[in-house]
Amino acid sequence: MDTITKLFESTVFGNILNLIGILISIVGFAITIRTALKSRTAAQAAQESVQKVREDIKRVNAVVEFATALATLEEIRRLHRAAAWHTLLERYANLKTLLVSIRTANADMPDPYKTSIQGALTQLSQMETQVERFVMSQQNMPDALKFNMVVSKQIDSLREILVEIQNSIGA
Amino acid sequence: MSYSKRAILVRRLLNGTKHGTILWEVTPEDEVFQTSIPNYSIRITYVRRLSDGSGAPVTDYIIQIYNQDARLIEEFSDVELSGETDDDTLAYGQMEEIYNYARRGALGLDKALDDILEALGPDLDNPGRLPF
Repeated sequence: MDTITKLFESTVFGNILNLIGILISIVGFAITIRTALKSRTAAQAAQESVQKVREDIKRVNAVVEFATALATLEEIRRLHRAAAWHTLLERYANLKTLLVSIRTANADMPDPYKTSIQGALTQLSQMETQVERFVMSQQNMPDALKFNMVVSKQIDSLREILVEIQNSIGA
Repeated sequence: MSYSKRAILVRRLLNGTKHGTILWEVTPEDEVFQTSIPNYSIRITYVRRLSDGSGAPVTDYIIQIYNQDARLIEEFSDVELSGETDDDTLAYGQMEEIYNYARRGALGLDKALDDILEALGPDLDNPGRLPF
């Protein structure tokens, strides 16, 4: 009993206890840092997942809009064949609005996509002008065959974009 | 040599068209061809008129620039452009060349010729001649 008491009272024993305490603190501190880093990595991973989901949702929206644009172009082709010039004016305007909306909502899309949309917008505007002039004056009826050659190229171009965006969802 | 921005544009269009980095497409209008970049489209065409002096028919080449709303924002002919360079004939020559290359590219003439030549088989009169 005296020995134990002497041991507890000795300076050496106190120093040993202090040393053990420091070691425990260091180990505990290291564990805390490691846990914190793991949590941060997990939080970052979660944030990245959320961002990826947001981007996929954006791509899905873009696919839907491009599909709508393509459907409208197909309808425009049919209306050209039917010489439904009055109805066409409305379709041109709707499609142009949609293409502008796609471009605005996807400002970070690659330049080739923007170029295709720009090309389609200009072609549609010029066709619209020709049709408008014809409707007003009843002179120089637009050539449906030539119009449809251009529309077919726009369909091919936009369909390519749609497929590329579709393939990038979830990738 | 002094160049306006329009003159520089024409030179760059010619270089890009010749080297295939600028691609042209047909439009519903005869003899009008279009190329686009992300926020602009450029069209090239020509008009025929009678010369003011001699009354002989002349061809003027025209370039049009459309903005991202597909609105025409600029239009100029080779005649207007010739006043912006030191060489009066340069603009006409360059724009004529752009037009011809644009037409060939948009209509797929080069590819058509290649396909036809391939379908015709070897050149029997010049068997040793390389096909390119």
